[in-house]
Amino acid sequence: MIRQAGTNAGALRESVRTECAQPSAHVTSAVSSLAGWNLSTALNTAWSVWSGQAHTLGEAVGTIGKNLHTTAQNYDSTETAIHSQFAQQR
Amino acid sequence: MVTYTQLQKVDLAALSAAAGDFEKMVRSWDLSTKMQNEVIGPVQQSGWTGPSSESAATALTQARDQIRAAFEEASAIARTLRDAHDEFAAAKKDLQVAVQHATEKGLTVADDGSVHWPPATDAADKHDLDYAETQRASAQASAQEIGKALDRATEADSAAALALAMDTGNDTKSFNSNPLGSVADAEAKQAAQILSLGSAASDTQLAQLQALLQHHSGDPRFATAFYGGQDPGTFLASYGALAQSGDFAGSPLRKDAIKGIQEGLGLTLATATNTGQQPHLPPDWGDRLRRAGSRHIQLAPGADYDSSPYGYQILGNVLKHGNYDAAFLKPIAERPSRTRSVTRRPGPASNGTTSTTWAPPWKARSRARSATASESHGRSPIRRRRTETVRRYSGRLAVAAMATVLVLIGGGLWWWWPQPSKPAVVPASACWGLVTSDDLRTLMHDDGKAVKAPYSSADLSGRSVKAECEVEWEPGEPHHVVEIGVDQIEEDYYRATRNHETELAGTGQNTVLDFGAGVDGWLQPFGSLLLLLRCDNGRPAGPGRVYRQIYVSGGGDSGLPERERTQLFADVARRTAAEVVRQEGCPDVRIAERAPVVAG
Repeated sequence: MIRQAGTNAGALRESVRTECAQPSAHVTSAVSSLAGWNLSTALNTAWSVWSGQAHTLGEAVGTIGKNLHTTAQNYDSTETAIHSQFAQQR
Repeated sequence: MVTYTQLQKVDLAALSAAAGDFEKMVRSWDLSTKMQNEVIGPVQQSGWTGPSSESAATALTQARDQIRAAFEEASAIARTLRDAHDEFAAAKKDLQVAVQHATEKGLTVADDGSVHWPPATDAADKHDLDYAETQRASAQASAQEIGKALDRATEADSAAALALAMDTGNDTKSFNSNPLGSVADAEAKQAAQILSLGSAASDTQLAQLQALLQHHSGDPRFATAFYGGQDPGTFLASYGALAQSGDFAGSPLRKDAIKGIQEGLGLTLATATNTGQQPHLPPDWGDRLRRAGSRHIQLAPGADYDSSPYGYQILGNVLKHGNYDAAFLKPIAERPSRTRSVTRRPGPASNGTTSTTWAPPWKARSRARSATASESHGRSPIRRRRTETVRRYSGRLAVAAMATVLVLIGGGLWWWWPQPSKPAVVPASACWGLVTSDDLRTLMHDDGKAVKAPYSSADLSGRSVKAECEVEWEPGEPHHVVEIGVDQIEEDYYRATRNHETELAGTGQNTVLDFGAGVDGWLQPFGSLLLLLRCDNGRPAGPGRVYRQIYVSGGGDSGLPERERTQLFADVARRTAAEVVRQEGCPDVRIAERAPVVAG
């Protein structure tokens, strides 16, 4: 289950990136069409901040996925190793 | 400042599309669900325990919280962009209409937005000495219309920029879990910020505040954000200081702006407290306002607490404007009645006198409010009352509550506008001879203000369903020196009114007064007198109208102490009832020889 959770977290990372980036094209157009307005500058900045935040979140979720995978792998390895040791003892 | 060209040529399609993208993102948001169901859930169900699982849980919780914050932020951005688009579009339309108006008048609008008129071409125009002046005035009006559209766009642009900045914050590592939310929120924040400056606000800032309130007073989101973001006590202090500065600055512009702001604050408060629409202020805000109302509000650091006005005195000026929800007003109306007895304390600069030319800000002036805010715009309470029916009876509570608030607050209204001295003009008598010149002089107190010639609509012979009389101040004020009404009413109305007044008497909100046999009398909480009596003389002016309703109110715009005024009204009410009985011949009634003594 942990491995699956890790895989799901990896997929979620992509969803975060994709969904949060959806407005990119129209935001860029709006910034351009509103040139000279305060909102143009503010939207440009806001989009930059939003994108940074989304990137950070995506990375965090991706890292969680990796860690869960590692945990699952380590768990499996440890299980295998311990199983092997007890098997040799017999 | 958005320029004429910018507004005229702006293409808002991309902005709308960007808003639409964020709206779509919010509508289809599934990241929180995915995080919970596909990541956190399986981990929790895996049976993983120990320190490492706790570390993982912390990371998972943080990510989940960030996803939630991202949703909030996206929602706020969507609203801000949509609001901005809608406001810009409306401003652009305003501009187009303004330009069209100018064109229709034969004017031309240059690329910079300036308006020009054509030179006189035909003989008539050439010989018209006023041609240029007329055209100039026309162009000026068009320029103002264009300017308003540009102001609207500028205001929205500024607010939207602020809102976006506050929606996202500036931390690129972390979403803002508490974004501002919308342009309305940003504008409310701007308005509250200016108000918080109190007397330190510049004339330009006041103009901005006035415009914000004027444009958005009817918007529940703006109104709720504006008042909800302020502590009621702080609001009263800020507004009090601001209003006071209007007197001392010697600037007519500032004084006008403050008047406009006062009206805007009232209209906005009415919107914010309207429970019939969303959003609105939570009940606890009203509770805190009431608590602040009963305290002295220090308008400047170090101001003497005891000489500072009560919160209700400041609030009274705001409540003059707007149509308020009874649920908001009623508790307020009940509160000042317990504080009023101490609000009549003259401030140190008033020397306890009643100046005829200048009322110091802290001087408590007696201003009985028998009219509602809407009536203050010229609608007589008598005429309003005339339209009431039993079916609208429940609505009377709101009206009465409003009147109560205004009157009770008016008992110590905090008033800062200098009043010009006027020679007193006292009619020989008024209201069918029932109000003497001595009565009027008493009601006018030593205020030095004049009154208009009395007005009465009909006599008291009973030939009319309504008879009313008013004596108004000169120059006009929304409240009368005295007003008397005699209505012929049907039994249903009589019973409903009697039951209502009896109920109020049971809760101590009015006082039963004895005017004789067959008469019910009440001193209402706002200092008015109400009498009901049966007059079945066989010749009513309308079918079934065998009861008479007599009311007397007004008199609050002078410094006359309330008890004296109320006692005088009781006497006038008794005289009126006696005259009605005398002229109409009401068989079931015997009016007392003297008016009841009104308790102080």
